[in-house]
Formats: sequence, C-alpha cells, structure tokens
Amino acid sequence: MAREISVNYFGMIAEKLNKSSEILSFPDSSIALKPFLEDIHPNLKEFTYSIAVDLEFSETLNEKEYPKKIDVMPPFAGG
Amino acid sequence: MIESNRNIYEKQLLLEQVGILGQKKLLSAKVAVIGAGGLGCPALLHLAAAGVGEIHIIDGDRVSLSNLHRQFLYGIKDVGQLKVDIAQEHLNRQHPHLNIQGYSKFLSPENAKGLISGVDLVIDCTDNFAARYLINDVCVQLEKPFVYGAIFKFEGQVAVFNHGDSSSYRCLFPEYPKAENQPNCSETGVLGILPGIIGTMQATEAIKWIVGMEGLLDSSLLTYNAIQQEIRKINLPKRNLEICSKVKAEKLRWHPESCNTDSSIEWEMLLASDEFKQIVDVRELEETPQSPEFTTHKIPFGELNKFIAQLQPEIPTAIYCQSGFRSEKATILLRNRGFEMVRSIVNGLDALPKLKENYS
Repeated sequence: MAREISVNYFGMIAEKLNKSSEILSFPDSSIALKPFLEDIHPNLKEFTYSIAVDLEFSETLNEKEYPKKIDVMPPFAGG
Repeated sequence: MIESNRNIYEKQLLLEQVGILGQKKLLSAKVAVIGAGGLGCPALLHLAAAGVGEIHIIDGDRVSLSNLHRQFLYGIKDVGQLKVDIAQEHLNRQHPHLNIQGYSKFLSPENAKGLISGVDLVIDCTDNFAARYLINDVCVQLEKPFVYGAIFKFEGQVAVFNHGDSSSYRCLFPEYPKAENQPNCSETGVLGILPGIIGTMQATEAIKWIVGMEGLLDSSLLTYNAIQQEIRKINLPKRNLEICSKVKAEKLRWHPESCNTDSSIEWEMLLASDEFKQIVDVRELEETPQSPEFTTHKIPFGELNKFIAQLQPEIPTAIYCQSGFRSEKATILLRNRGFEMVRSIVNGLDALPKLKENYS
C-alpha cells in the first residue's frame, strides 16, 4: 500500500513547478527522496535544495515512516 | 555602565534574560553586518538601538532609487552616495556612544579574513549566493558564528550557522546553485516590508547570541511566508565534518560559477562614481548604437583573451555590452585572469536610455 504524503515547495522551486504543495504517493519501501522527486519533477534537477521530513532535514523516507509533510527547500539569495 | 546608558536601556535591563550583565555583554560586543541593504538596514538599526557596542558596516554599494522602498536608512537625497557613509552617519547621530565603523567595500576572498577576524559575530545581510558561500567559508575558517537571513519575494529564511558544533550553511546546502537559479531582489521583486521582518529577526538572533539567551536558531532553519503569515522551524542536519574540514583546508575563493552583485554595477552607480577608470565595450565593433564617450576600450567579447594586455588588472574596470549577458561572461573571464575589481554593467546599453529618462 502506497503512502500519501503532502509535499510542500518553497521559493523558486514552487515558482518553477507552479505549485506550492501537492499530495504524492510514495512506495512503502525505504526510498531516497531526491531521485524519487526528480523522477516526478525533472525540473528539480536544476536546483540546489534540501528536503525535510516532518521538519527534520533528511535525504530518505524510511520504511514504515508516515510523515505528515515533506518540505522541499532551496536556499534564498535575496537581501 | 554610565548612568545615561542605563537610562537608554532601562526597559531592556528589566528583562530577566538581559539585565545588567546582558547589557554589558551587548555594549562590549563587536558585530560585522555584511550588506547594508534590505536586510542590513533593519538589522543595523536594531543592533544599534539595543546597544551593541561596536558595529562594522561592510558594503561597497551606493544608494539607488529602487532601494528606497525597503532600505529605510536612506532617502532620495542620498541617491548616488555610499550606503556605508549614510548608515554610519545615521547611527552615529542616533547613538553617539557606540563605535560604528564603515567599510565601503564588498566582501571578497582577499579582504574577508581582515574584515571579519576582529569581530565576535557576523550578520549575513547580502543578496547573492557568492557572498553567502564566502561568508560561510570565512566563518568556518575563523570559527565565527554567523546569522543568516535571506528572502525570495514573500518568503524568508533565518538561521544561526557555525555556532560551535552546529551546522554550517554548506552542511545544509552543499551544492552551489546554478547561475540561472540565483535571483536577487532587483530581478524578482520583493515586498518592501519582508526584508524588514527578516532583518529584524536576524538582529534578534544576534542579540540572543550575544546575551546568551535560550532558543537560538542554531539548530533549526526558520522559514517565514508573508502571504500565509506562516512560520516553520526545520531542524538542521548535524554538522558535516567532512564538508567543514574541506572548507578549512582550502584557500578562500569565489565559487567559479559565481556572478554576483559584487561583479555587477548599475549605470546610475557607475556614472556617480569616478572609481572606474577602465570602461570596456565588449560588443562587436560594428554594433550600434555607438559607444558612449566615456568608453575607454572597445574589445569584442570573442577577442578579449587575445587583447587582454590592453587592460590593466589593477585598475577598477566596468564592462558593458548591449544587454548585460556578454559583459557578465567577460567579468568572470577577467576575474579569473587576475583583475581585482571588475564589474558588469547591469542590462548594458539597453538600460542607459531608461536612466536618462528618469533624470530628465
């Protein structure tokens, strides 16, 4: 059974994808998040970003982990 | 603490978390604020108002009209003046008992250690990734903490990096962003009040760090969204010792792909300054309109390597083309060939008539 998780996008990434959040279906097995998300949104490969799982920066989504949200966070440049 | 100072900080002294000891720490603290723009203006005003004893303002930029909606230390009469001079004068007038020092230069790999080694804390109020990665690297090398703040349109980020064993900026974002994903406020637009909020948060973190308060943002990245009025705090990863050791071992340098505001200048600034003695047109020789009369050299971009000997690397150099694209590339080329101060003129000749209209 797949996991339905809310994924939030920030900064230029949200702008590029033209969305600030969406619900994605993740497999039950442990997965590396960047390749998984970049497979769905190839545009992400252009960006520097980190991923947070329930407010903890993490590169993986572990098996049997059911987070409420995943945040895709690029650094901002402006000042 | 002298009596007049005690009166100034009376309401702050009443706070259990500050008190006389905390105020003495503030008055003896030395802080460098790098960037006196959108983030720097509120940060500087609040740091000075709180009584931070020694504040170093570092920025080589001049005031332009488009700064005024968010950089509230400056007014229309200041356009064309060095931001550092105006900010220093303003803070000195408000708080004559503080030591406010101005450095009218952009941070660079050559001057970074000299500018930062004497302070306790650095506030990153810059507006480009090249400077941000450089601030991280020099702070890692000198083992100084820095308060990071950055904005994008309606969103902001704040964190305290490199505090003891906490994460560095590169631990969170190891990969340098690609050139096309390096927007700044002049390109994307920004709600004027947003840097006011984020710069104020940076000053808050600086004061917390100096006084030694709890809740410092050294283990989390705060993000703020002005549209949703939403704040979230994301726990930072552990310090990546491999990344930090590598930074410590390497010589400070610009990232090779960097092309930042330190490498660009607007016509308005250029024409108000007599600093740039070499002004180079890198368009093809047959291109029109004709080069403005102040142009000193005409070397097409494709020929720049061949005729580079015509230019003197130690002289401040400004480069333009028609739109700003070739001049950016030329800037990187010259920088890699040892030119110390070289700037690409933003939007090239396309921007010059617009400037003239604004002033006519």
